[in-house]
Amino acid sequence: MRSRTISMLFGRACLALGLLLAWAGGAGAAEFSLTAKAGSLTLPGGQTVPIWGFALGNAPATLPGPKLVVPPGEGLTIHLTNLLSVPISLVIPGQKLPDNNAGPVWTDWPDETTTWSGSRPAGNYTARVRSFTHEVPPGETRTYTWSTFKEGAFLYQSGTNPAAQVQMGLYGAVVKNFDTGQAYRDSDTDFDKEVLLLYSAIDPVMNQAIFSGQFGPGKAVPNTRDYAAKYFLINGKAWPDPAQARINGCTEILAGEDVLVRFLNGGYQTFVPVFLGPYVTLRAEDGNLYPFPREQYSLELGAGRSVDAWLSPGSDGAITIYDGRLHLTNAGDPNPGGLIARLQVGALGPDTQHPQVTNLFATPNPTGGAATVALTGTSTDVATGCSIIQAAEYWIGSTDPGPGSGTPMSAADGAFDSAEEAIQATVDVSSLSNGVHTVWVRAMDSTGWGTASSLQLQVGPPETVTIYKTRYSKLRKTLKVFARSTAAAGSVTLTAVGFGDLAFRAAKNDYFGKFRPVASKPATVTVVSTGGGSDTKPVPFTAP
Amino acid sequence: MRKRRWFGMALAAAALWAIIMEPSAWAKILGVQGTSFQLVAKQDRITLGDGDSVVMWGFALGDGRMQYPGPTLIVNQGDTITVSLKNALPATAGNVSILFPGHDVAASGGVAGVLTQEAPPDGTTTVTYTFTAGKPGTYVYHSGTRPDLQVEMGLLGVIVVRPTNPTPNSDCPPVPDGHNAGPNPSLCTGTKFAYNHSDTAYDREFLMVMTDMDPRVHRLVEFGRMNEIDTTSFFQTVWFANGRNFPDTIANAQVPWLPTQPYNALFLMHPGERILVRMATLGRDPHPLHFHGNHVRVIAKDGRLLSSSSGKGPDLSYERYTVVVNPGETVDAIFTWTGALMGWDIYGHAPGDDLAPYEFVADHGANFPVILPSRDDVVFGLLYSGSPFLGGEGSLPPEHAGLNVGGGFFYMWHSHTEKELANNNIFPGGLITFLGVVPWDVPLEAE
Repeated sequence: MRSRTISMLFGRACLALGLLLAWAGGAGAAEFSLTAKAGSLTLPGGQTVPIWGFALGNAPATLPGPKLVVPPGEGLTIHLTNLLSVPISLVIPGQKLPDNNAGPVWTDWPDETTTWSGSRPAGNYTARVRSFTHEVPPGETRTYTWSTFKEGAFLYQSGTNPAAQVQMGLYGAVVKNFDTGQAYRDSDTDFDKEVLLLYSAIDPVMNQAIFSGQFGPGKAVPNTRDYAAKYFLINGKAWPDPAQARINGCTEILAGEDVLVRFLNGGYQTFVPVFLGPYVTLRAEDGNLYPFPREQYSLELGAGRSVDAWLSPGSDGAITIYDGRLHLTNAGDPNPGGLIARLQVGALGPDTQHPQVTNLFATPNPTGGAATVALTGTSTDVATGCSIIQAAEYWIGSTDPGPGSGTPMSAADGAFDSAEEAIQATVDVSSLSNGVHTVWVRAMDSTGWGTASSLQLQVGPPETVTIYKTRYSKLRKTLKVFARSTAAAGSVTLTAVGFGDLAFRAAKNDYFGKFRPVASKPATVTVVSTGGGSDTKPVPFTAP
Repeated sequence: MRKRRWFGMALAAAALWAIIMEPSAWAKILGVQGTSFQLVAKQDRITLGDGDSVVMWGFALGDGRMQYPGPTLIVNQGDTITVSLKNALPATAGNVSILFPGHDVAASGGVAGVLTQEAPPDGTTTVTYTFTAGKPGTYVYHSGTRPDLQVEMGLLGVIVVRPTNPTPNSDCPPVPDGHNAGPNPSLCTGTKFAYNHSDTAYDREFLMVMTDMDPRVHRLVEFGRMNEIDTTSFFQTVWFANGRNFPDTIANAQVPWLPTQPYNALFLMHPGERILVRMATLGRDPHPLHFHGNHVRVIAKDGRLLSSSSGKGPDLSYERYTVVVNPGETVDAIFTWTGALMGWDIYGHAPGDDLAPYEFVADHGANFPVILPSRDDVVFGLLYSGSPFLGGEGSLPPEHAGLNVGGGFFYMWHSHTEKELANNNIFPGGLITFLGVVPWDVPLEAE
């Protein structure tokens, strides 16, 4: 998802100077397109909770959001699209505010009908700050630019009503190293391998209340006073999820290597990760080097905090990390759970399996008349031997040109150098006939080309989305939304902004969503499509 | 040197105080020495500061009773340590195991758990943990099986690893600048080192294990309502220093009415002595330990000297008046006190009098800063000796208990999370204990 484009921000003269200086140094900016949207998180034991999360492009929202890597020497640009029903914004504690921020956003609480940016409005003593930086209104896209970016591991997170929005999942890790294999300017901070552990916690009651509009003054859950986390997660999962038994994933850690273990805490309470057995060397906190390193088997990981630990495993085997504050259960279950994870030290076995391709998306899809579409996906060998992805390719139609003879795709980060690569290509669709075409994508590692995955690309005129019925039941606290799309049957994803995705019903060739509990009747509902269409209708509404 | 109005610290401890002043086993870390330890997990009860009695699971030494905290294991650097564990808990408790953070442990026997090998509750299966006590310092051990419940229930303890070099000697504490010489060397305990460096020298050492408790959990365990236990709703209402709540913290060690809480937390010293405070926290929350009387110098964390490089000693040590020890962690700190810079002679000397050992010379003979009120005009705290001077013993009203017979100065050491100074909402209680500075002519037990 990264490209070496220079940030386009030039609107404010006072900021332009800083940008020019950045340009003078030849610094580019890592560029990401994030979407904030509703989703769900499956918790240990199978319960799901609604989340608001970030996603890259059209991918589903995740908790935490995707890890963003800023290359050495570069700045950061994020284009943030908001598919939630509330305004959001973006801050990165530890970095300065975005270059293009226009000051905090004030609002005339509790109505929140009028907002001001910058200083408190003159003569107004009741306005409250809602956002720390400029907002993204629902359904819109805004850009956040950091022309310079401090090295370290940080949380990017919503800067709007963070007490609610951050715990809903609007956070993720952003990492920048001083150089390849070196975290900071100090040469002692070099490392062979890097592992990121992002801690967080979930109070399902709070998530459900916020999602369903029951959070706020006068509502079922008026504030976060009674926040009580029940689930404790590392990288979005809890023990005994299989991923926790190998928290380093495809990062091969060999005995004797210097491993940089980066800890981040997106939760609201302090955790105390304890390494069972070895000591680690703590060198930096919140992106700041300690004057002297500290040798401990534990570390204090406060809310919002970032700690960098260096581990030098002496031999092969598993190194367990558990929480000294004993968040070692999933919602009180007697079986081991929560904040337990293992680093596996030892060489990966020989790879005998080919890589897979997942998360395929074309944007826009349907093409809506566009001449080109962006084809994105993930090529991964994480579950199939952990070899480095070497290449990826695509073709359109039923005729396989043969392995290696498709159209090459590029690695989103510029190089095929890891076992999981985001891949991308710009596909010219101008010569394709209107209708559905199958796009095939496959990837190659040292064992050869893998099986192709496919997506249906709807080529055609601009999509129209029509909401033909909305219903709200005060008794059942249920909102129903019915919509149709001119795109090919089931080829797009329709999202009711602020509530969630609609399901395609083949029998009726429509999209239907039933959302509950919704505490009070919304005045309108907006449905947006991955094909580019959207529609807004009042509630209730029935097409004439 | 922080000035504290010591006589403001006297809190109700009347029944216990007479026993405190017996010369007995209180001025050192109690524990069991060796290289091989047989621990058995057992169910028993402890007494809280409010008189409540709660069910506990704890470690016992062999056939002994379970104790809270578990036996302090005192070992020597370089030794291979073997800890064998049997589980004599009720079947509902499930398996038990032990983790030794900071040590590379080989575990064998029993059944495999997520974190280590576990002993099923059959009373016979033995799990053996073996590790090398490679470096000196203070360490913790605790259950590695359902720790969110079993640590709460009491399955925890501390390990002290003594350094190999240098060996203890008979020196008196060094004389700080501006102070009088020390006493007759026969009165000194001798200098010991916490780590292998002379800057970690101390004269007396004490343990400070800080824990917390939600008694509701213990009641659910007692009544067999195990499926109602939700450790995510933990809400502590009782706080412990070395397994006791105030005022039991300052009762003597090994008193017969606290058979499962053998350790006290009364810190005692002579002026000029350096005391090593070995702190550990186990449970849910850190309890910022606040020191009155002076700052402490933090020299080590997690059993590692705060050192910029090998051989430099604790050159990265720092002073604090409140020390936070996170659950699962340990901190070692050194405290000393001479009464320097008070601005008045703490011994009440006249200018021509002899100097006391380690007396701050500049204040010798300096007047007490206020005119003492008449005995009939004040209410005396229980720890008031009848005199504001160290070693002084003035007249007291006939109804006064006369608990401070040595004329010591008493400083409260307590959690700075002030809500933790209570036993189920009854103040004073919880995580409060005292440092007593007594004159050199009051003997303290040798180390």
